[in-house]
Amino acid sequence: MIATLAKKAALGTERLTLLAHSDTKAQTDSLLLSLRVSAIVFLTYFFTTSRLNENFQMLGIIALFASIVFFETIAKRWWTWATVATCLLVGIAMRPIDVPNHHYVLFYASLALAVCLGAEPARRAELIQINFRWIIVAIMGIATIQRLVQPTFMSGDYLGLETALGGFANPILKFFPEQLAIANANKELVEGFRNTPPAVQSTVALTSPFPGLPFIAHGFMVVILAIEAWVCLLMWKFPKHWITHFSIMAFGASLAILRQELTFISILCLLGLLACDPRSKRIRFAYAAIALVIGAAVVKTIVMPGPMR
Amino acid sequence: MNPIKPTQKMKTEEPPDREATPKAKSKFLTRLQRYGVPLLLVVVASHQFYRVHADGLSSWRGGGFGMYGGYHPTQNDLWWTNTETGESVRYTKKKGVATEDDRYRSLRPFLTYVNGPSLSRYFSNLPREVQETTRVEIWQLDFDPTTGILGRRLLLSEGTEETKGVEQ
Repeated sequence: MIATLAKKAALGTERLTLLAHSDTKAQTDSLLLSLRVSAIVFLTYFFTTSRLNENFQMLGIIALFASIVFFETIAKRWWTWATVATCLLVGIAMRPIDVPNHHYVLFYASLALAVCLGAEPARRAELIQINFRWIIVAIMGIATIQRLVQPTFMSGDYLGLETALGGFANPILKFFPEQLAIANANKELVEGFRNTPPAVQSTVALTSPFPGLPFIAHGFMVVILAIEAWVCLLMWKFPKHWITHFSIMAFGASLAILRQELTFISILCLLGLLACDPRSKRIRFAYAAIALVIGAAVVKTIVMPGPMR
Repeated sequence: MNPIKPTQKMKTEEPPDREATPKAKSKFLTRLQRYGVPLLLVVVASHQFYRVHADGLSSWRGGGFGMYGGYHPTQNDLWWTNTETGESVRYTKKKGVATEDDRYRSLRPFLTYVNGPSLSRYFSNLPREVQETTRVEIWQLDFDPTTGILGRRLLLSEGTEETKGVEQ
């Protein structure tokens, strides 16, 4: 009986070891995937928004991120990401009120990666999840509060103007040529109005492309607030649940339809990839695929620009 | 039976060294690793929040994630008016478009960061003859979705004629 028990114990230990090993392997694979996707998203951002006019500087940036993608040892070093964070910090320090918020987000992401990769290997995966979970919670929570205290947003004034100018739901508007024509006409009116000195012309009347513009503006306002607060709450309370990550992807999809904020969507997917459970293969794959596809679309718009909006 | 001698002291164990310092350091480091970066984000965003509401910084900039909270900085216009000739020139911050007149490039930050003291300081550094014949105004779009009317709101003014009812 003792021999039987010992055999069972040995079998159980072996199974547990295998499980732990595969768990560790899953974490390692997940980390490597996340770091490689991070490098590509960072490179996309630098490529599209960088003011590095000198070719050798851009070549240096490409070399840095290419080395992260192709060399595992470089990707997993904390000083690699500390270098990236430093480059981004220099940009913030030089133009703190000019750099977009994506720049700040990428700085926090690279700093978090540097901090987490500097920890013991056994704690890295957990630290990364925790850091990026709270980064997402903070961004969404702060964004919600910012909008709640802005009278221009809560009254629907800004959203109404963007709707009248066709700045929202532009891909959908293309299927409604009449409404698109009205939005384009409004744009010309506004440009003419802005070119006229204030003392000469104080107001101009715009035509709404859709009936019920105030309702639409307030509708956008409610949807934006609700979805941001929803994502914040879910990531706070249920960081590993599939609904949380589905909501993040849905938020990204809504941004793609409404405003084509492609760079922000790829960064959002990167944050989600780093915050999700390493064992969730489908969620990881979805995030990585979206981030890379969107990144390619962003580069395409720079290399082969279409007509100006 | 031997009585216990009152002089016999019971040996008690010394309380163990708490070694609290290395443990406390380790705990602090763990917490810093977990929450340091998100906390930094919150601190920077809070600072931006203050600058938006106290200093007129655009909610779109400064790391506060206040996009779509208000009009974009590119929807602000700076008007440079010669009060002698009445000629007015508009300057605006357009994405990817270089300004036609390099003179106004130094005015670009005011469109994002409408800050009264800064514009005053800038204006006071202009040549005297320019100050006496120039008025600089920063205007922002103001739309009413109910009526569909787009107007303008004066954010700041500096120059020879003080504009009445300056709003911020």
